[in-house]
Amino acid sequence: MKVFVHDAAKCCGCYQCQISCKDEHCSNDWTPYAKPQPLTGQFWGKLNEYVIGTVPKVRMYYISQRCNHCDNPSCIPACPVEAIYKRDDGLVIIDPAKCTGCKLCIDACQYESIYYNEGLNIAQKCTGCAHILDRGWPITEPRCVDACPNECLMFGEESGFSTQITQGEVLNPELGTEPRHYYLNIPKKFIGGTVYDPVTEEVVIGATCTLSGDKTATVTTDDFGDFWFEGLAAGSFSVKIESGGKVKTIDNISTEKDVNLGDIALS
Amino acid sequence: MKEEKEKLTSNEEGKQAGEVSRRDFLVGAGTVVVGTAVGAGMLSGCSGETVTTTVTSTKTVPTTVTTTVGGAGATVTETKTVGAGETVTMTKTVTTDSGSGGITPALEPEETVIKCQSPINCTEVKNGKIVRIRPLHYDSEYPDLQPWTYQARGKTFTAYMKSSLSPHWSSYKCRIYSPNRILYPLKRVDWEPGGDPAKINAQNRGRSKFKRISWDEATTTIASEIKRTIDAYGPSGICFAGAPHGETKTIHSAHNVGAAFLHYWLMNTYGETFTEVIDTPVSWEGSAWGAKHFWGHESGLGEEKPSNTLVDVSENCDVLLVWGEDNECNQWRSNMQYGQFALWLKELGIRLIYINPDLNNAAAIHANKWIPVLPNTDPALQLAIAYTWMKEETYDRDYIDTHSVGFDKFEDYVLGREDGIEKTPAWAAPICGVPAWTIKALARVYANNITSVMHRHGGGMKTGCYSHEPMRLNAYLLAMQGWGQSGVHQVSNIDNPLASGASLTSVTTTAYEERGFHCQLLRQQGTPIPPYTDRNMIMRSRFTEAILNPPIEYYAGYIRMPRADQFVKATYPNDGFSRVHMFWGDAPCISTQCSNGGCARNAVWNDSSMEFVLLQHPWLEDACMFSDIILPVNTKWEEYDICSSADFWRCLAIEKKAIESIGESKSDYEVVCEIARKLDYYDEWTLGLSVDDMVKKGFENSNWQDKISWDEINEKGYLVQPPADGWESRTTASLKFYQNPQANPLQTPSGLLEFESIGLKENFPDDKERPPVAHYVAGGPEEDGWTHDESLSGQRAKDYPLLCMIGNPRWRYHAQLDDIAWLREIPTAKVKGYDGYLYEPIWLNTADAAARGIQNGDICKVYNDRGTVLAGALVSERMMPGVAMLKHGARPDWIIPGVLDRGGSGGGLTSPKWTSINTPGQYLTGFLMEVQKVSGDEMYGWRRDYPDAFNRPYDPASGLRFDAWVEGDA
Repeated sequence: MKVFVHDAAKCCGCYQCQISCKDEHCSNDWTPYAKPQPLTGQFWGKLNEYVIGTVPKVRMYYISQRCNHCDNPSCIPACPVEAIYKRDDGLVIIDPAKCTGCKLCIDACQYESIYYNEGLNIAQKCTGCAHILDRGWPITEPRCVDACPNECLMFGEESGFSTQITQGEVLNPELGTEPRHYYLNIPKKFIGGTVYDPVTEEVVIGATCTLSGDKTATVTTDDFGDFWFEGLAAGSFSVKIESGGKVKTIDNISTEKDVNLGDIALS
Repeated sequence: MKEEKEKLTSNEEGKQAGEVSRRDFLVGAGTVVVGTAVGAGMLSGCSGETVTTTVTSTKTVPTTVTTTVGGAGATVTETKTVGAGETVTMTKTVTTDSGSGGITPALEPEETVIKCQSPINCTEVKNGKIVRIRPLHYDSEYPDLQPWTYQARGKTFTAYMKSSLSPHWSSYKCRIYSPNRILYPLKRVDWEPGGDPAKINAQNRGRSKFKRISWDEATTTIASEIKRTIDAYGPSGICFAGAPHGETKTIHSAHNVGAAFLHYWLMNTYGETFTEVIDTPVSWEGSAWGAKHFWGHESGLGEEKPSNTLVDVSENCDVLLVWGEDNECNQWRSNMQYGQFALWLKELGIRLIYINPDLNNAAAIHANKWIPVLPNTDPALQLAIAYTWMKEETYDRDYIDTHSVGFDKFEDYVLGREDGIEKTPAWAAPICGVPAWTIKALARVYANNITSVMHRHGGGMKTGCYSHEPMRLNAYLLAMQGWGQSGVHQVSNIDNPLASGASLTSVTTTAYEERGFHCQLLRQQGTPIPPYTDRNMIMRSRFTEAILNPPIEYYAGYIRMPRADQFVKATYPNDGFSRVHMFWGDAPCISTQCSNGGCARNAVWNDSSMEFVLLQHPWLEDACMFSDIILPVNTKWEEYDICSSADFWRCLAIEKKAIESIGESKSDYEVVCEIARKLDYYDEWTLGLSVDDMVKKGFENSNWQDKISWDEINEKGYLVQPPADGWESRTTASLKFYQNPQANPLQTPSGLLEFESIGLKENFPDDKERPPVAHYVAGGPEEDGWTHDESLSGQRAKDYPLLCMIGNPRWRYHAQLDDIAWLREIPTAKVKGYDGYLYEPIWLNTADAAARGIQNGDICKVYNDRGTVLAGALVSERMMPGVAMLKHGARPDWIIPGVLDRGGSGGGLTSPKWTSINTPGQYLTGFLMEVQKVSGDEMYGWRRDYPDAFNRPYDPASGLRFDAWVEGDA
């Protein structure tokens, strides 16, 4: 049984996964696996980008999404003509010959991974490049995986990815569809800031910063006076900053979004 | 048919993604027959067609398959075939089980063709159409190939076994089949040859349309115009400008092959050559005009030449400052290696600190810290760092004593003895936008750790106004920390061992050999070209002025010319030579990529002194619209060639033709051959060699001809080589200077590092914009003798309060690739306006946008006193406040030619001036401007007053279209 794994820590956001999917599927007819994808507007493989924080504590990360090829998919039971089937290798395929374009599967998939092709009147999505896997040529992986320069998008037998599956997560597990697409290192929320002494106009290095609230942690500021609390869930926190007998406390920090507390004068 | 046409020309409302449009032929697997225009705009399908083609490539396919597509009687295809350029309605293809004797088309193999387009890739082809473009697995034809490895700090780097193809080239199928491809030779409808001002209608260039002509008519006219120009003005009446950034070709040579021909033909026939438009050091301006006077480095255009930097940085650096550079963008023309190396450096624990006005694409992913700095103000930050080191004595005083001259003068300036101003962090902070405490912290991190600084071509620091100052100061700071020792370098990139020259024997037909192998052969035979002082040249940065207001004078610091030439005045027209009356160019980027003074820069094409403008290019874009004759050029996928490539492996490839020529296009080389034929110089120019002969000859002279047979490389498509044994032990070139400066002098007058430049002091002692010792130069009003006033504290900032970076685009390759549908739909590539038009993004900080009532996605006008371009707001915390960003290279789409551009070409805001008073370098980024949301009334007024501009055929997916500019049945 196959799985996809995407490691956000190694993804540089080049969109090769998204582009190579189009290169494979736009204007190419892989019947009976898939009909051509429209030139634009459909994203069987989709890269989503996220900008977090505020100037200057800003970061980005990317999530490469596609059909999760769920073990308990909502699309298969939704299809009235049994056009969607799961292969022995776990890939979920919409048979373009059987599909009647009723769009029920599009409505059923809460991951929004299925697209409607108006010209062909069919529903379409990622096939895992099953046509390539089945013939084993010219590559042995889906195009998106083959095109990934940093090897952060991976595909293969479940048994070969036991570590990643253990450490990783699936998107929205609460939906209960049992996705076969795992993610590593999706950042959680952060609280960061820079501590400086307004009199000397110097950063404060080695200040003790204590996080309290929904989680507790202690870090010290680095040689830029920066501190970072990372891996936080959404919640409410306080940060206490101490150095040389001076103390500053910042309360009511909400991590609904990532938080840059800015340059903090410790006086 | 007429109805269809009307639909095309009124397609202003944006099609929703996935909606049926006239490009629905792309959706289906339909057969498209576009008359004589077969191919363009056609990413058509494969297996639904009833084309009978025997599949012959079976060598790497697990099952040997020889079948005919559609021949098994299993495919029923209903197609509607329509005329040129029109919609093809949906094709209904029903494929039944393939039955015995055949397999389903999906499982049939394609033929693999190797192409080297930065880097090497595989292109699969079936039925004469490109199926896919994908990375090459280096071991696919060499199963025994093992990845090379490299150890540092107890960790192992393993070479990647796939070519690191960038999105620019893996989306290239869209470019090859772009609806903007030029299909046949074109002539402007209201231009007539002969040079009569009443008949050339120069004023209509960029406004009037084109009509189809035959190759014979085109080349006959061109040859007669060339001869007429020479008769009237001499050879210097002809101007040729090759542009960089076309495709990588060898024999077919996308760059300057016309120049090679003209040199060869004119020198041998007339003993005099044409007027050449020559580049400034473009991507290296600040280094070439500045740092070169400090530390020489002639061959690196003023930058330390990389030498085994993978080893040096991996083993010796603690901190890498990436200053004014976006490696996850600027390097993509070549490969994706920077990201791969950055992941490795982080694994080693090396800190990457990015100093840029924006959180650029590399910083967003790789930065341990981002320090935002206002454009054009880096020198203030650098001087405050030097000040901190001087006060805290945290620099290498002994090294300065033995390796440099003039440091006392620099101290005088920094410590305020020269001008009464101490360059303290508190002084710098309000200028550069970095808090004083962060400046001090940066100074100490730099001094306390082994630190290198990374720049690559065209970073913001290198191409702003007065860019020689930050690039000199950059070198000053490195020198103060003992530049040249292990780990203390200016790094242009993390070069792999192949790029560092530590490979096996290099391949002669290098990918960057601009004029190709054929021209090498010619060089051995032709009359030598005179030195530039004895012929007519125009520096690219002064092109507009040269055409409009000759004569002009400037200092001749052309690209790759020695430092001393920056003190030599060049004149155009040179003594005894004519001004230019005919222009010929290839792979143009003049309108979109170069500066030359805002929207008005196009006036150059409307000057009646320019009697004939000829361009050759695959796509109808950039300056093509301003020409009189346009010749259609192939992409390299339509050509047979030989090429080399290097990322983790060095390759030599024999590039088979993937597809037949689209339309009537020919390669750049073949275009020139056709012109040579009409000038009765075909045999001399071709040397009697066919393209096949030259490819074979190229192989025989490749230095690799003994490593593989001709037959075998043709069979395999490529030869791959790892780095040479012992490459790791090669030391950096600058180490010798560090160890013994007397025995290993630099290319400066003193042979040492010159804090006070001897050359500048001798030649320009009173230049306040590039003084002998590097300064922070803010500029100011023209009446006070300043070339630029592009500072937030200056006069112009009152009207134009944002500093706009006009940097390298991530989703284009400079002026190229703006029509690739799969790149354009990426969220940071274009912004879809309410009118459905895909606007070029104008990046704004959240606060700056809010202050102007601008929301993400709003259509905005971006303007200053030089022009107005429209753009879509992209509001982001990736910009520091006070700074906006508009990437260069978007194709202009004029609403009012020379005044208002809907395409969002950043060139419309650029200054007519150059780097500084005595340095005619390109000034490409860091301009004051303002952004406003376009009101409904304003847009309505433009639509009412300029209906033609708004009714031009436009394709939301790929933008401008060929048929928008061509009369008759396109």
